[in-house]
Amino acid sequence: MVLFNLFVEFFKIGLFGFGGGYAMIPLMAQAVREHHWIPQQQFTDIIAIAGSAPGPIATNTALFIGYQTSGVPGALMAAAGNLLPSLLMVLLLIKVITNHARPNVLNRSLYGIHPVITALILYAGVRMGIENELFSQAAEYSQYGIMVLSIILFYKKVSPLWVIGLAGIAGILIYS
Amino acid sequence: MSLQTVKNNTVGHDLVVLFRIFITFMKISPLTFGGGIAMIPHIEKDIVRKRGWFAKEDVPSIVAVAQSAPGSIAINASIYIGHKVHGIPGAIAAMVGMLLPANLIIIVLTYLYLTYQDLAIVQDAFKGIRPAIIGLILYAACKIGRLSIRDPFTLLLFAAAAGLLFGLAISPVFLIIGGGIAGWLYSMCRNKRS
Repeated sequence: MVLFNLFVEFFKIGLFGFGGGYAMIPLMAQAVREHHWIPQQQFTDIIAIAGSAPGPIATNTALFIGYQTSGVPGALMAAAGNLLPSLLMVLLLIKVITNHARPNVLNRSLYGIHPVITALILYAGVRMGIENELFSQAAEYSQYGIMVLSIILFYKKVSPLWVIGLAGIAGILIYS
Repeated sequence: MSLQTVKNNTVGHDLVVLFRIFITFMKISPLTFGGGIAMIPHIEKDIVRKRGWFAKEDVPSIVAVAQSAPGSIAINASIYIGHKVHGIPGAIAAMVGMLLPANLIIIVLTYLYLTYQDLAIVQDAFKGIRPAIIGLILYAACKIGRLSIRDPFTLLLFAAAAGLLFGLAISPVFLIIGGGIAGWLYSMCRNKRS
């Protein structure tokens, strides 16, 4: 039952994650909150690990949550559930797309979906900031400094591997 | 097995093609740091120029499909290309090739994390890393926002969604469906008027 549940939840996350891997983070955060699969702070950590490794951040996170919940079968079910909508929707789009043009109904829906996804990702960032005690009185100024600096580095197109690595070194230097 | 027998034997030939698709994507996979769009130059180099599976003019349509379908852009692009080369088995071979190296790396990394997460030095490192990840997510929101919020209507949708989320914690799926319907209705009306 747990396995089936993982599959269904990650299928839903995959189905509604319009706009790439980061669009799935708010949906996963919501599901983690509802089902208590892993602690919120561990969820942030695992996004850090998945984000600094190559490959799709969502599949990597799904594997970890599935594994923590019910071992290797859980990891496989979560990843399969997360990937199946991609497979089905791309195959469907290949059938309906002709002459390089997206059908109007799809364009028009995505026109409304993407601003909502923007709000969802923003909300996920703020929520995660609160849950990690970054946006709270327990936070230290240096942590805000790291956050602002990393936004600047991401904007300058520095690879996430470098930014996360540097942030880790800064953490060891400042907080130990 | 000589090349001639491979060609005469269709099952063998199928497997060779699938294996070639798998290997091609396995080589691209470790290079896709920082999101799916990072993979486009590799598609042009390996898929278009080296393998000749696609014409250069087709690359925008790969990107269009990969971005319109839900899920990871890199995964969607690999499914599209694999399907073009060898149907549904090709799509699956490409997807698995794209996933396997990345998944092996992440399994090693999470094993290390779970083993050493209680060490003081790891705790300190993550105290620095967590703000960077919040920064990464906020930056991702800005990036997708800059492309998608382009007129008063999309700004209104964004503001409404943000308000509902922060104020009422409405289910994300419900909001996404609502945004899709609103965008569809609004652009239909706008097109009729013009």
